[in-house]
Amino acid sequence: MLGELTSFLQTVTVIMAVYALCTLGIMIGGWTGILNISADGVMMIGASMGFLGAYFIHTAVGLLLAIVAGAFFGFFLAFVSERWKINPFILAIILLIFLMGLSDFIFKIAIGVRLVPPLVHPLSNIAIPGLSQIPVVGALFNQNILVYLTYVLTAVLFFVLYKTRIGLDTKAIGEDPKTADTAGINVFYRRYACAAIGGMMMGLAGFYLPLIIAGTYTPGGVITGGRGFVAIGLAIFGSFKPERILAGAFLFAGVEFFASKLVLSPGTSWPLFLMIPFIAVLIVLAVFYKYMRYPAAMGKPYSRE
Amino acid sequence: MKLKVEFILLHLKPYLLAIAISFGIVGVLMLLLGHNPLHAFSTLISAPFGSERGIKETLMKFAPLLLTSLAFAIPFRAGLFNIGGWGQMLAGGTVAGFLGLALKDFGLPSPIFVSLLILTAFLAGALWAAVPAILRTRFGAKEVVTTIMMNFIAVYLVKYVCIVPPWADPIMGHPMTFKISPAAWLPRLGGLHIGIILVIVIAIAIYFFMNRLIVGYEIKAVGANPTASKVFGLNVERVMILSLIVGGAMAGIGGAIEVMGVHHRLVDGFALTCGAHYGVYGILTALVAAGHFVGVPIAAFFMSALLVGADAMQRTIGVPIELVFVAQALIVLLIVWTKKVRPG
Repeated sequence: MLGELTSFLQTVTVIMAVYALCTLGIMIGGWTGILNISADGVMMIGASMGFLGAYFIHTAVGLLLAIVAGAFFGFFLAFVSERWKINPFILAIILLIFLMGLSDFIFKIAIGVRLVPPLVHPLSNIAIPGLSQIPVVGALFNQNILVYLTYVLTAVLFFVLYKTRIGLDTKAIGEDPKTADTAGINVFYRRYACAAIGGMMMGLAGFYLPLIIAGTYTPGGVITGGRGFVAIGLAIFGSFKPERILAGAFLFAGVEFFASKLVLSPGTSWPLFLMIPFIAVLIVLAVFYKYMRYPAAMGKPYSRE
Repeated sequence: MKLKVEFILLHLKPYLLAIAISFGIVGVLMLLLGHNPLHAFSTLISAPFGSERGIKETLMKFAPLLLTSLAFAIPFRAGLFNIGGWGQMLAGGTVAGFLGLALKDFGLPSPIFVSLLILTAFLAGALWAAVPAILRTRFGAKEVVTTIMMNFIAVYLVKYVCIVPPWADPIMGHPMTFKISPAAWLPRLGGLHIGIILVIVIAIAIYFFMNRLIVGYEIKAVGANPTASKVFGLNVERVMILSLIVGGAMAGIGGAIEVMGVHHRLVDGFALTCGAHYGVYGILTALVAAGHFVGVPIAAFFMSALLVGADAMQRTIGVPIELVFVAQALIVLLIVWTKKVRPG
């Protein structure tokens, strides 16, 4: 029983990091009023470029490529929509479609068509001495390095949001950019920076998929499996707060884990179980709506006039 | 007269510029990959228009594409983003495929069978859009997010129907159902199914719906200024729900046309064409036309020609089809950028 529970927590934590990294990325942009609908596309380009870098050169190169690509497209969304006052939802939808095509294109150019999928070595687990010896909970501390990075990022963002001036200022932009501007905060630069940092984390979440979970890149949107869209629901569910998002990421990772277990069980109704995460988002949005906080200036480019 | 020509040219300028820039970038990419861009571009034009087969193929893609474009364009005029054209199309196709099998033994005459299936697909698409519409108006959940969730639910619904015993065809390697009753197939005229005529009728009807009926005017009013519409006594919520439902119903018919006219059965991934699904191409098409209901069919026609050309380019020259996909997104991005397209 204890062993089962430990292995359950072990697997769920591995999946959790994808949701948490991507959702935290959406959250950072969300603080300043930029909702990145194209998160799934940014994850895909991170997965594609990250995989190719890791496959042909080195894991570190893949990581770097994924982060740089994520930062670039996060920045692009914020910069173009603010600078030319284009509706950020329209821009994000086009960017999403563009990135879906680009990720597969790059992969097909570099790899071509192969019968056996090209594989990368997954990152190995690092057990933290002491903590990993605790029964059951120890599974949280016998993970790959990116899971630890997720913990650290959540803690840092928690600290920034609640304990620093920077966090307060940034949140103010999402609520009321005009007042923030009057108070001397540079709304535009803050938005660009936050969108770029958020994009980095989405790219990182994309890199995580081939490196830890799949072992390869699969074209046609299979690699992300719509997790980037679930992450948007999760960000709203978590009211753009890091501690709630981490908890929500564990919840959705658990849902995904059970759905994938049911897929393996005999019977032919497996597609119905794979609907569960998406239905869960709809229910969560409907039921918990009263308890959610949503930055007031979301999706509106700021104009000084 | 001269003024009018100048006026049209002025309007066309951003489109021509966007196409030129995008294909310039694509051409450079092709050179870098070692293909001859001129050869590729001539294939892109000759494949859809150069032969009877090509023209037919273009029209076959035009029918579902126009409907998914309308699925985005109608709610767009009410200020809503319906990303769920894909799911609504799948829902319509699933219902048509399912009933086409389930009602096989009733011996319905073809005209009744076909209209019944198209009507139920219309309702299924409307239902698939009604869920996000109600979540938006009752709970304030963004339709951008909820329509995407409905897409994935529909994807797995299609997979389910395609692998479950009474309907699934176990001999086929790819998940699909048995063929639907031949009485439910769309009749063909000269190698083309009549869905294409139906789609053109629908496009004209939607034009009148949006431009000549009070409902259409209300949709546009809500999109232009929801607050003012409310002050003047419009039921904004009702108009929003209506626009999404009508949009969803369009995509639902699109799914039925694909199942009843092209595949004659429900196939997993039937909404896919040229590396992406019709929902995605519909969004791009509607954005090019900026939700203008004369522009949508024209844009849909050129988009489907581009898809047929891209398909031929991949087969004959070996340029990955995603390149054209990227080029389309680039064209739309440039048009949206220069024309400042906004909802409403």
